[in-house]
Amino acid sequence: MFIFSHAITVLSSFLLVHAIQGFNTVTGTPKRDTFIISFDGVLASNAEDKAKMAIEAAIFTWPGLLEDDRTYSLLHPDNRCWLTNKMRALSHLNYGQDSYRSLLVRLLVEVNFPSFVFIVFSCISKYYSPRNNYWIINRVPVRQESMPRSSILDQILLHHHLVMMAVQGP
Amino acid sequence: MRSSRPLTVGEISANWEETLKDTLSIRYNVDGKDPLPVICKHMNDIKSLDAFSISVSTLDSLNECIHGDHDVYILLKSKLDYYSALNALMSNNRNELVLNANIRYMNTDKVKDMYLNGCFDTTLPTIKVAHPKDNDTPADSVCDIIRDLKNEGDVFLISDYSTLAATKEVLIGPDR
Repeated sequence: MFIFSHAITVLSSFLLVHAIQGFNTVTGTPKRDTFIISFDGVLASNAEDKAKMAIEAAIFTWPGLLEDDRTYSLLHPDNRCWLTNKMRALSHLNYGQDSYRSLLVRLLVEVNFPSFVFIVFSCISKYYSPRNNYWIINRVPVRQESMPRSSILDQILLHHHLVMMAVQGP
Repeated sequence: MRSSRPLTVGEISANWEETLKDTLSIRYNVDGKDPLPVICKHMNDIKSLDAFSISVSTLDSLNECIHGDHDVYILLKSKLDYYSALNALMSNNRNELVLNANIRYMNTDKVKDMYLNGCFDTTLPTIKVAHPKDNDTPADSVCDIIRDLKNEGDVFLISDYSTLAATKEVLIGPDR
């Protein structure tokens, strides 16, 4: 039997205690259960620590992130706070190694990220012109459930010229 | 054509695995080279100054669980977390021992014993600390652990949603 549980501290404590009291003897004989417990988020509430560490490492790697004339200069505490919150909200991603968190920091403070065009492009094409844009969907698969329709419509307003390109297709 | 605002959490989540993760290290290279080793070095310098704190109630539950004759594995997301995790598990702010057990470092392809301070107390139970092998995900580590289990008890996996979902997909199959 497998029991899956989401990572919140209260639930983990409940399950651990409950397992000792409730699941130990099903057939009357002692049973040896196995607990696999994630360190991050279950044993340690370290999402914020990791976010801050990623921001610091990003600044060491790209000192230009502190330049005052950037839209999201990390010189300003408000921007750092915003960024920390954003990183916490993205702590569920599979980073593989923590260095990718700093790359994500760089991405988040970047307002001129051209790949975004492709993402928007493929979302729109998925909704509006799937037959003409298979090559884009294949290149950048997008899960439509993760992006609310209103968000896509917002993008259409921002990038109306892209909609034209997507509808016409190759 | 460029966007005029940062990507949203939903946009990044939806495209992280398929697109973004692989393209970022190319786009944000350092002097034309892979930025990951440079970031890794900076992170190690920062990490040595920090220790993560652990919830006392969770640790109490963990102590009870270990002494209830269950097998306990602690899953790290990366190899680099090992020493931070060990420090957090074994000592509090006053540097007292908080986890009443031996800790064994276990990579799933190779088991190494790394008991704290080189000592092993035979009167105490042992918990195992595992992390994904290179290019593996935490879900791969969980699957390896489960496949190697010899006891017939239940398996409790307590983790973040993405690890749970990926493990479930491998062990049980996709949703229908």
